[in-house]
Amino acid sequence: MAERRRPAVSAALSGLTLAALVVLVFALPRALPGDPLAALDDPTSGVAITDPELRERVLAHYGLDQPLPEQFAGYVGGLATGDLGWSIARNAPVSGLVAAHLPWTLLLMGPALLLSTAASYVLGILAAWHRGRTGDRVALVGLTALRAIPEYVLATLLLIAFAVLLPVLPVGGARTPFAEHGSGLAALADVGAHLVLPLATLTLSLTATLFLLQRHTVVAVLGADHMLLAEAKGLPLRRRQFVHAGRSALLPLLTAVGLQVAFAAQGAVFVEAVFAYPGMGSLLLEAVAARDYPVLEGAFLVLALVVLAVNLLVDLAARWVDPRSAAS
Amino acid sequence: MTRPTRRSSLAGLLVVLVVALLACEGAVRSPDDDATAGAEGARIDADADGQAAGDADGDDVGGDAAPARVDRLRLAGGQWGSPTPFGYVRGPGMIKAGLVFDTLLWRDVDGETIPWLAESWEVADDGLTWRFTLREDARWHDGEPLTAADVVFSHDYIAEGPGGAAGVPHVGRVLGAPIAEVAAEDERTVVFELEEPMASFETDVAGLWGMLVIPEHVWGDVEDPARYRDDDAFVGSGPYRLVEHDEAAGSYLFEAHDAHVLGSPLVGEVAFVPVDDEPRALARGALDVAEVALEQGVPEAQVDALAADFAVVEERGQWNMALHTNLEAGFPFDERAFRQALAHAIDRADLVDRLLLGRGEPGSTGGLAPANAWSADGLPAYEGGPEAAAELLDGLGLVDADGDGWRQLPDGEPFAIDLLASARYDTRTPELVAEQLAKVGLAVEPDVRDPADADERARAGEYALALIGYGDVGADPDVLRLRYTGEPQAFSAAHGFAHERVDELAERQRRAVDDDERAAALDELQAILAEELPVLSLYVPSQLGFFDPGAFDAFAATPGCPPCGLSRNKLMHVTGATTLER
Repeated sequence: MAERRRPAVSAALSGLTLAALVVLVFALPRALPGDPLAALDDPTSGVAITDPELRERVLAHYGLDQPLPEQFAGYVGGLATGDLGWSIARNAPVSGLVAAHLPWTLLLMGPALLLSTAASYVLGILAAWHRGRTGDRVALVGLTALRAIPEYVLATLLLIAFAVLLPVLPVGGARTPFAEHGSGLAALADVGAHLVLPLATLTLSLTATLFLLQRHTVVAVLGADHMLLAEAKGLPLRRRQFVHAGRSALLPLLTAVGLQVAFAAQGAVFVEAVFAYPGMGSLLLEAVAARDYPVLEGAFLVLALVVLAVNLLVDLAARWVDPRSAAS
Repeated sequence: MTRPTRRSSLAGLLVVLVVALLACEGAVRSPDDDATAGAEGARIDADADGQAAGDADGDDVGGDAAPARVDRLRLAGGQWGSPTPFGYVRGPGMIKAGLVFDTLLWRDVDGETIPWLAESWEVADDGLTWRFTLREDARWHDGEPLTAADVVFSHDYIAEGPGGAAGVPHVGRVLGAPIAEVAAEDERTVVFELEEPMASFETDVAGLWGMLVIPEHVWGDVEDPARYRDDDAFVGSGPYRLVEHDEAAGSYLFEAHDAHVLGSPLVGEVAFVPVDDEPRALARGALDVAEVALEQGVPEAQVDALAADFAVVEERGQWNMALHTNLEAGFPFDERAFRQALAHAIDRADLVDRLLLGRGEPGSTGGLAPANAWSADGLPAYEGGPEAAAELLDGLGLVDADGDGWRQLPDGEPFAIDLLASARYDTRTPELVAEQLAKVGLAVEPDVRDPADADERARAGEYALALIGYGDVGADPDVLRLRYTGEPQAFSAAHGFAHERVDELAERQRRAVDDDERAAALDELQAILAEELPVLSLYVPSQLGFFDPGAFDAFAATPGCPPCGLSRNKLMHVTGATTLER
C-alpha cells in the first residue's frame, strides 16, 4: 500500500507547490516598488508617457488598470490556455521570450549538473579512500574554499583569466553573432567555445558542495561490514571503490543533487549575468530591472517547473538506485 | 594508490583543454572571435575576416570625394524589440525600426530638417495646412509603389485603427498631435490639416520622431499590430531590410536596400552586435565604434587608453543630470530663495571636472541643454558660491543656532534632507552634491535606489530633492511645456511648480507659426525658469565616441536625437556623409 500511495501523495504535493508558485510569481513582482509602465519610459532619450489618456490606454492594454483579484484571474485564465502574456519592456510574447532564452539555460544547467555529479562521485570516493593524505587535503581545502566563493566572483575570475589575460575563449554571449560557419560542426564548436567558461563556473560551484557530501558519506561507509567482506574476498580495488563504497553513497548524493537543482538555477542566473549569456537569468534580471510583470511571472514559473521536473527525475533515479526508498 | 588518481585528473584536464581549444579553432571565421584572439587593446584589422570594413581609408567622407562602400558597420546591439513599426521598444528600438521604415522628413547632424520620403513640403501661413510631395520613385521593399494613400493610411491606422493601442513612441506623438485630417490630393501629394498650429510638427509628426510610413497592402488587415511578426511585417520603404534578429541575444543584422529613394546605401550591412561593454568590445575588435556613457562614471585611464588607440569624436551633449526640487514638500523647498541658494552652493563646473573628466558642460538654468539651438542666452548662472548661498539661507531663517555646524529650521527643529538618486548613474553625483551642500551647513543624505524604484518615486513626486537624469534637454523645446505645466506624468516632470505666465508662454511657443515668435516666447519662459529654479540642470556630459577611422568615419551627433548617438543616424549609413549634400 505504501508504495502505491506515495506517488499520489507526491503528485498532490507537487500540485500544491505549483499552486503556491502561481500565487507567488503573481504577487512578488507586484510587491516590488516601481511602475511597470516605466519600462516604456526612456531616460536616455527623454521619451516618456506624458499624456494621461495614453497612460490609461496602455494600462488597460496590459490589464493593469483592473483590481488585483481580476488581474490574478486573468493571469490564471491565461495560464490555463497556455498564454503567458505579453512583455511590456520587450514588446514580445512571454512564451516566445522563454522559448528563446530557456534552451541556453538548459544547455548550461543540464551539463553542469551531470558533470558536477560525476566529478563529485569520483573525487569524493577517491578523497575518502585516501583520507588524510596530501591529495585528499588539497581537494578538501581547495573545494571548501571554492564553495565559499560566490558564483559571480568565480565567474569574474575565470573571465579575467581565460578571456582577458589569456584570451583563448570568447568573453560573452552564447554564439558569435552573424558568423558564417563552414559547417554544422563549426557552428557547434562556436557554441561550445562560448559555453566553456559559464559551464566551468557553474560546474565548479556545484561540485564543491556535492564533493564534501560524497566524501563524508564514503568515509562513513568504509568501515562497514560489506566493505570488509569485499576486501576479504579479494575483490579488485576499483570494484570496491566505485561499486561497493560508491553505490552505498549514491543515494545521499542523488538526494543532494535534487536539492542542488534549485541552486543550479539560481547560480545560472548569476553566471549568465557575468558572461552575458542569453539564458533565463538574463531575461529575469532585465525583467526585474524593468518591473516587467508578465515576464517575471512567466519566467519564474517556467524556471520553477524546470526545477520541479528535474527533482522528479532525481526522485525516480533514487527509486531505481535503491528500491527501498520507494517503499519507505 | 595515488598515482591512478593523479593520472585520471590529468587526463580529464587534458580532455577539457583539447575540447576548449578545438572549440576555439572552429570559430575563426567570425569577427567576434577574431577579436577575442587579438585582445590586447590592439587595433583591429577590420578587413582580416573579410566582413568588417571596405577600403574607405583616407577618404574624407564628409568632403567632396565619393566615399567607398563599407561592407559592414558593427554597432552595439541590445534588446530593443522587433523592428516592425509597432514591435520596437523605446528610442533605440525606433532607430532600428527606422532603418526599415521611413518617415516623410529626416534630420541631419546640423539639426536641419531634410527631405526624405517627401522631396518637398510647405506649410500655409496660418500654420494649419502642411502639404508634402512624395518622391516619384518611392517603392516598398516588395516592389509595390509607395503612394500618398499609404501615408494617409499610416496616420488613420493609428488615429482611428488598431495602431493607436501600441505603446511605441511614435504612436504617442501622432495621437498627441492636433491633427484634424490627413488626405491624399493625388498619388504623390498628401495634406495634413491641423486643428491648431503645432511648432514641433516637422519633428514629431513628419520627421525624426514622427510617423513611420507603413504599407496599406500589408497592415490593412492586421488587427493586433504590436504582435504582428509575419514576414511582411518587415516590408518597409527604408534604406535597409532586416536579415536576422536574435531576440534572446539582442543582435540585429540589416542589409542595404539598393532601390532606396536616396540611392544604394553606402554601408552594405548594419550589424547590431550584443556586447557587454562598448569600449572593451571596440578594443577587442568586436565593434567599429564605441560610445562612452560618461554619466555612468568612466575611469580616466580607460578614456586615455581608448584615445591612444582610436580616433575620437566628442560633441556637446543632449542629456542632463538635474536637481529637482519638489515644491509640494513645503518650507523651505517652496521658497525661491532656497532653490537659488542650492544653485549657488553647488559648484557645477567642479562636478563637470570631477565626474565627467572635464568632458561636458554645466547645464543651463533655463532648462534646455546649452547646445540646444533654442537655449536662451544671458541667463543667471548662480556662481556666488557658499557665501551667496549662506546669505540667502540666513535670510530664510535657516541658521545654525546651536553651533553644531548644521543649519536648523527657523523653529529650531533639525533640518535634514534626503536626496533621491538612481543607481543607474554614477553614484558619486549625489555624494558630491551632498558634500558641497554640507559646506553651507545643509545636512543632505543621498538616498540611492534601484532604477525602477527611483523612477517611480520621481514620477510620483515622492521626494523633496531628487537627482534625475534624462535626455530630452537637447530635443524640441516643447519639452519645457511637458515638464513644467499640467499634472506631472513623467519621471522627469517638475513637481509642485505652478506658474501662470509659464503656462501661457508654454502654450504660445507650442502654437507659434514662425521661429521668431517661438524664440521670443521660449526666451521669456527660460528666464522665468532660471529665476524660479524648480529644476537645476547640473551637468551635460559630452557625447563621446571612439572609432577606427579605417572602417568608417562619418560619426556625429544629431541634435534632438539622443538614441541616434554618434553612429546611428541612418543618413550617415545611407550617404556616408553627415549632411544630405556631400
